[in-house]
Amino acid sequence: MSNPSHVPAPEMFQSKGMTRFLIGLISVGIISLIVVLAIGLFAPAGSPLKHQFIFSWLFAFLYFFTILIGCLFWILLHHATDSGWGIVVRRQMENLAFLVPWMLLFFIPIFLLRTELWQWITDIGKPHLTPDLKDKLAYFNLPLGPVSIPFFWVRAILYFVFFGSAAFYFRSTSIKQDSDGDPRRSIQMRGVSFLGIILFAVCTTLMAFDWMASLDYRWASTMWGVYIFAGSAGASMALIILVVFGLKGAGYLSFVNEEHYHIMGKLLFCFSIFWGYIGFSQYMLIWYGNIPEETEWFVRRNVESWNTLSTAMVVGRFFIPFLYLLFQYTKRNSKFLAAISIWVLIMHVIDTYITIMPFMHPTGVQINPLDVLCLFAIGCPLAFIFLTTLGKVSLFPSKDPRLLESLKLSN
Amino acid sequence: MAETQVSAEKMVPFVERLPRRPLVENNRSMAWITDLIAGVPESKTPLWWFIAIAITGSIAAFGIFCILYLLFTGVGVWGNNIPVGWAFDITNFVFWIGIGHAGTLISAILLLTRQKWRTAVNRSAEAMTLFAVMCAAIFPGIHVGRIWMVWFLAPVPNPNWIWPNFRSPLMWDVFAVSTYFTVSVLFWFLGLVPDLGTLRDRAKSQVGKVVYGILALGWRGGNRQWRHYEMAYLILAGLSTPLVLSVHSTVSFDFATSVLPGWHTTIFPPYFVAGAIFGGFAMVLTLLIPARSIYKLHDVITWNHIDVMCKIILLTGLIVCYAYSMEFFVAYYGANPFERFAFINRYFGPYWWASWSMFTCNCLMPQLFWVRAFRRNIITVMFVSMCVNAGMWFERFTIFVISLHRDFLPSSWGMYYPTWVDVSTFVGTIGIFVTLFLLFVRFLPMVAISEVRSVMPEADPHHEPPVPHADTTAIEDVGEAHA
Repeated sequence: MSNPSHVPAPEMFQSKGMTRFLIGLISVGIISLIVVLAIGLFAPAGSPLKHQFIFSWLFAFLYFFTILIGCLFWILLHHATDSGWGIVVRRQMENLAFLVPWMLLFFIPIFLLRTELWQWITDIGKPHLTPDLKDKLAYFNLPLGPVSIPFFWVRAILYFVFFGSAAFYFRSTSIKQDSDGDPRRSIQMRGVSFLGIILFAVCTTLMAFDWMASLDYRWASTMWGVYIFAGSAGASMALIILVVFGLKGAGYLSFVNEEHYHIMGKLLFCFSIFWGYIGFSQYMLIWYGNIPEETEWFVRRNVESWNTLSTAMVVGRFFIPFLYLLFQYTKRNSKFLAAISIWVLIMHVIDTYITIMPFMHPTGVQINPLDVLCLFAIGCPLAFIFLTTLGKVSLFPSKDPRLLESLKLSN
Repeated sequence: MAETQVSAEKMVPFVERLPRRPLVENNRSMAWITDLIAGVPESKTPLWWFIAIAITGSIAAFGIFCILYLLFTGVGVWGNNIPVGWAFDITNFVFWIGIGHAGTLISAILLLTRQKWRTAVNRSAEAMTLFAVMCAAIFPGIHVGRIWMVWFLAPVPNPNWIWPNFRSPLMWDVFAVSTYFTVSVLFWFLGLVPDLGTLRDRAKSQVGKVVYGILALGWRGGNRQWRHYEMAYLILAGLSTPLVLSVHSTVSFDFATSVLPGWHTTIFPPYFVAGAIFGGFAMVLTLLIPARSIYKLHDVITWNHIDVMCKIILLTGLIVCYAYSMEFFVAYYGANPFERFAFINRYFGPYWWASWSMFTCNCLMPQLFWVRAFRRNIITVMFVSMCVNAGMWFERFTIFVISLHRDFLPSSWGMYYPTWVDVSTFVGTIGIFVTLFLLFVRFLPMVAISEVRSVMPEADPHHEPPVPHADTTAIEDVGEAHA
């Protein structure tokens, strides 16, 4: 720093030079979206194709949804701990988390085709409920005389309300601070983040049970919410790293340096270990206890080619990032850090795939073109929205009271 | 720090409007800190110390008497019986092991996360860790029944053809705890070396010179020594960090690998770790607040330090509440009648008082720390810390005894009632713990002198005396009101 009491002026992202790229991006997105929705909505009810579509869609939806709420977690953590290191990259977390409300649109097909996904929805309609379902009926759908309260869907709305409004609040308050530089806003956001973390934990846990675990409603594990959170937060950090590198590559955020990479790399490292720790504990305890209603979940994933994929996850999501990021050099070098971030995002694809798809293909992994198309159908529009809204505000919180601390960061 | 490449014309002025609070208050000098901390072991032993150690020493001695009585008579002197074969022994073991977590968390994890406030409290917290682990280690040793077989707990070399059961989590526990203790001792002692050098150099008596001289391992404070020291310290911090997590995870495996409702639940490892940090921090505050008042450490262990520790208690307390709720939720959602019964019995069975004490002390009381005034009031901080200490003991009692006393078959249900030996042994370990801590504050520097000095603004080579801005005080007041 030439002068310690000076900071960079606000930077605005210019999307002018990228018009062709943006057109390409949205074209791919819209074409994939039309193709998959046409297949999904017009395929005959109960047909394997319809079934495949909605499972592929749920997989792609959850892949992006978990990453985006992970970004919200990083914002909450940042404010709650009053940290200074990440001010220069925080706006990108805010921009990413701000995509959560858009996910509501992508949730519509899931709602429309819900009976194809969740067995309990069909089972509830049957005259005789199985004891497993009867005992937990109130959680899904509480019958009250002639009417019933669909708690499952009420909760789904609450998740969107919480994640969406929290993402909106933190981004808009931070943007307001860009103009007035009022430190009271930081203090206010810190206060809100304390409550936000509690609601985040509740919503993420129940979301993990509702949308993932209840695909097999007999199965339950107290660790499940933590497991999903661990994977999401790690993958989000990988995405944040890549977005920051992308912007740096385009000539922005030149003051983000290896000190910041180092911390982001350490967080990625830490959450790879955390994922491994949580995954191992959950698996080992269920394996050791060997109670049939618990092992069912893992037996499904330890047969045929699913076993290969599950084993690959252990190596790819834990051992490789762990050994790779153990070195200081890989965390401080942008090329090395970008490579492992891409790797972690790919591993998160597999993690989500293993969570959802064994219900569709119990006999083994069967990768379908719809899986890939659904990823494009949701991912490309999200990327398009992200890039077109990126230029509206400064690329970093330019008047944050901790900005100088973040610029002067030293590990 | 890496140089940034922003050209000068793109820079705008920046006014510091939310400054960080200083770690050492009242602009104390470095020499003042050394005099304050090193002055404690150098000064004449005060009368209160003799009275205190006489009391705690007597309690400890009575505890040792109870242990000997147990060893010479047999485990029949305890209330343990079928179906509750594990009761106070394992409760106390896990309680003490849990207490021993805060020290390493403060010294290792907070070092790696660059939390500089740790320097004021790490030394005593680490010492407390060691004493807590020592108290914990007593219980597995004495609960075996046939004391002459206790060597089976230790890893026997495989060439002896006596194979420990490697599939048993109890075996893993021995490995985990002994590794943890070894690394914690090394870490603690390594951190002490520079301060022992200071004590040696300042010692007036010949005994002090010799004893501190031997312990200081030839420390001269040269550049090369500091470089090696910091490298070793960082490596040990890196080694200790996974150990903090692994020890209590392994302790939780003792229970979670079984199929007993109330024990077999997958969230146990992180839940036990969070609970251990929760209880450990409460114990740190319980010990440090009196020490801070007695030795006038107010400028080193400031209200901001206490405030941060209260927040950690609040956070870990909420994680513990999350785990309680998840256990309850999954007992309902899993729809296993035995699980459901176990959790109803926990709160409404004959031991309801233990579970509700746990819930009140661990979930409700820490919520006081949402209010800033309560985090900065000696009485409420001590009160909540005491509640958490008790609550964490009740938590273990709840998990272990209540789950065991009514399992699958009603005809084999039973009750557990502690005997006077059970209670006295536990109280005795408290005596041992406090006695060791009193010895520590008397003879060793209870705050890491060199580390506190290293986080003072003057230690920064680029330090310039700050120019206060007109708004600073106003903004800081707002900040404190909302913090």
